[in-house]
Amino acid sequence: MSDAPEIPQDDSALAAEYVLRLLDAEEERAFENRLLSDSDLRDQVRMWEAKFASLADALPETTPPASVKVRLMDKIAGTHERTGSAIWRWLLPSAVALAVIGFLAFGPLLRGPDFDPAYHASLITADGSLQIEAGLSPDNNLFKVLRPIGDARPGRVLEIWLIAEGADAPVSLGVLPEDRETLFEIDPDLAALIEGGVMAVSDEPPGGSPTGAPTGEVLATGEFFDV
Amino acid sequence: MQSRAEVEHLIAKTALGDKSAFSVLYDATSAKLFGVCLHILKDRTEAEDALQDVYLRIWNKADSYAITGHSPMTWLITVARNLAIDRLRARKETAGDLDTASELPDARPGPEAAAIASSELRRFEDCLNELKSEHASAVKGAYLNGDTYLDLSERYSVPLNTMRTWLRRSLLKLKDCLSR
Repeated sequence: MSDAPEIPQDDSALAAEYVLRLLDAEEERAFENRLLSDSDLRDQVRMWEAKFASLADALPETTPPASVKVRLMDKIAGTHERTGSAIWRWLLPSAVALAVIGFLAFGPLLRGPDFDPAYHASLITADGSLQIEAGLSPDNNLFKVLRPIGDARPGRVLEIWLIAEGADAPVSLGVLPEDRETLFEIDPDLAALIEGGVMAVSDEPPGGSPTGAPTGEVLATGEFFDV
Repeated sequence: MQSRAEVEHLIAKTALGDKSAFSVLYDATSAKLFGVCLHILKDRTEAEDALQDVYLRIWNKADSYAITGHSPMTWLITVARNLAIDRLRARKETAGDLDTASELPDARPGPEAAAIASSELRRFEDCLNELKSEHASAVKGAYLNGDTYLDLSERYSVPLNTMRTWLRRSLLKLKDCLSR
C-alpha cells in the first residue's frame, strides 16, 4: 500500500464505514446496491458487524421499565399469524447439527425391511424434552415417524407439518398417535414436496388443528436431509 | 441470559409468530439492548421508544435472522444499534446539532450477560489498542456513539477529508490485525 495522502480505496474499509454508518446517503445507497450482487462485500459487512457488536456487548445492561414491554406486547397483540414464505425456509445452524446427530443415531432405526428412507428430518425442542425423527421412503411413499423422547401435553396432541421449499403455508402430515413409532403412506403429491422441505411439530387440541394451520405452539422444526 | 442455542430457538419461534417465545426473548435480551439504546441516545425516554422500535423490528424480521449468518446476540445488537442511530440522526436533523453529552444513567454491568465470547472482545480491543489512541477512540465513537465524520473532524479539529483518511487507514490496520 502506498503512503499517498489520498483516502485509501478498499472494499473492506468501505464495508466498515457502512457498518459504522459513516457513509453519506448517496454512498450508502450505492453501497447497498453493490451488496445485492456482491457476496464478498456481504461477507465483509457481516465480519465488521460481528466485530463491532462485541464493543456494544460490553456496554452495561440496564433493565428497561416494565411499561415498555406492556406497550410492545399490546402493539403486537393484533398482528397476524405468520404465513410469509421466508419463515418456512427458516433453518437454524444448530438444527443442522442436531439433524446430523439425529440421523446418525436414528437413521438405522428408521430403516426397516420395507422401509428405505431417502429423506430424514430430526426435530428436537430446545430443552430436549421432545424428539421426533421422521423419514420418507420415496419408492412406496411410506413415511415413518419415531418419537424417542417426549409426549403430547396432557389433553393435547402433537401434529406434524410439512413446509415445502418456498411454500407459503404448512401442510398437515397428520396427528401423531400415542405409539412411539408409526408408519403410514402419504399422498404422492405430498411426498414430492419433502425434498428441500421442513418438518414442524406443533401442540394442538385433540383431533388436530381445526384450522388447517398450526394453532398451538410450534415446538420444533427440522429440515429434511437427503440420506 | 440464556445460551446461544436458547436465544436462537426463541428467535425461530418468534419468526413463527409465537408471542410467548417473543416475550421470553424480550425478557432475556432487553436489558442488553436497552443498554445499547441508552448509550447511543443518552436520553431515557428516547431510549425506551427506540427499544420498542427494536423489538417491533425483531418481531417483524425474525424470519430473516438466519440468512444474516450472525450469532443471535450480534444480530440483536446490530438491530438495536442501527435503530438507535436512526433515531439519533433524526433528532439531530430536527433539533439541530444539540450537544447531548448528558450523564449516562446509572447502569450495572450484567454478570453473566456477555453472550458474545469475551475472547472475541479481548481480541478486538487488543487490535484497537494497536492503533493510535485517538484513532481507536474515533472508531469506537463512530460505533458506540454514532459519530459522523463531521462530528469526528470537529472533535479532533482536523479537516473532514483528513479524518476520513485517518479512519480508513485505521480500519485497514484493524482488519489486518484481526486477520492475523
